Amino acid sequence: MTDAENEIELQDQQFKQIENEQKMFPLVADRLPFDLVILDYDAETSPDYYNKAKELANTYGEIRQIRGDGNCFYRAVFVGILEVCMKNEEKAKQFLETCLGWNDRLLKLGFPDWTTNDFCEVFTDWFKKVVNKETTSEKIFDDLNDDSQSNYLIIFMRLITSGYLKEHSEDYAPFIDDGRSLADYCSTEIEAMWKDADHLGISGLVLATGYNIRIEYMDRTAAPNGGWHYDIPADCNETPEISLLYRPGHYDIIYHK
Amino acid sequence: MAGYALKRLMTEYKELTTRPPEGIIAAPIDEDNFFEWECLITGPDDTCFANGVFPARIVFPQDYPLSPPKMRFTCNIFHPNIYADGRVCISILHAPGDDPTGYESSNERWSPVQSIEKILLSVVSMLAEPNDESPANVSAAKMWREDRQQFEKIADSLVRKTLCLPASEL
Repeated sequence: MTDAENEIELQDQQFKQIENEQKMFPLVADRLPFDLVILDYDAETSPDYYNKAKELANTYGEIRQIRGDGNCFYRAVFVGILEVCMKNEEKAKQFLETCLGWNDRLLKLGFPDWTTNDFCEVFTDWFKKVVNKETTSEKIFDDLNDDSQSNYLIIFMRLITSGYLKEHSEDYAPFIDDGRSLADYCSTEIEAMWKDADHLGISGLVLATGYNIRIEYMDRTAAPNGGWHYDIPADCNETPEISLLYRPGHYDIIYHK
Repeated sequence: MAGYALKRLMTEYKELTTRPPEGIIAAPIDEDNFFEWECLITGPDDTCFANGVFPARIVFPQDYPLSPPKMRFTCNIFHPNIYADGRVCISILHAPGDDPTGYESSNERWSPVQSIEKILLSVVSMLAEPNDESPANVSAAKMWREDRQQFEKIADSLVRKTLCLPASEL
């Protein structure tokens, strides 16, 4: 083998190893007491994180951890939306309408037709069962923890995120600073699996789904405007129903007391 | 685990048989295993690979289409973007971030809405227009750049080989 081939081989092995390590962790864990977050930090060696965790524990009672596989933001928001919909039939119907509408919106944007239709159908067929209560909460979370099923649903989240950014390309294109077009950016950063969401991905998913979110930053410097969290979109009037905890490079879902 | 992958591959097979792109045939080797395909690619017109019929194999991962397949020519082929063992090195077969070849970011990468047809069409344009910036076969890239005549002569002999024709008298 040549050096280049060896390098690819080695890289493949490394990816495999990282993947196997990630897979020890559930895609979507159970809801657990928020105090777990405090236990992650030592009061002496990382006082900033420790104190922030203690502070958050006053507001948030539980955390649901999400596997750190690059899809955590999309998966966390999706699970958050599902939990809202499982409790509120009206909202579930509304979200189904939004999702059904995205199929045409994506095609209108020039997404390849039958591959896109496939992802849309899989998603809406699955979600209809949630809306019509033809499934149980247990089955829903089993599906969310099945790599193949869960990731197919995540692709839909990524496609509508990309779709929203493309529908508003004039607003978003100026934020892409490395000379790429928005279409390139979307296909390599948003539509592809296992790529972390940056601020465009966050904004796109929130506006594509119509679900506002609050992000609590574990990093004190991240939200300097008097508080520790950001609401997205910034001008939303009510406290968002979905809250995420951001720790460098990773998102989990957290629940108000 | 592979339920969606299988369903998708069956749909793609149907698509490719009902609406076959020009100069390309692709199908599973064995109807019991949709994860390994054989394809025949005709060299694009007006290039040194014209008229050649090049066989290749495509192997799909269990999580296709989330991850891209791998493709390897099973015939002898001398081309800047094909390794000596036939493996195809083209941007659409790489997941984003996985970038052993240093391709420009503007090249189309794999994403789950791509398809086998898109890959095969990219391979055809790769045959027509080699990318010698990030070669998989360095000597082929060098010859493509510096001695086009010799490169075309080798391509011609490979085309003849795929058609079982005697070597050119040129």
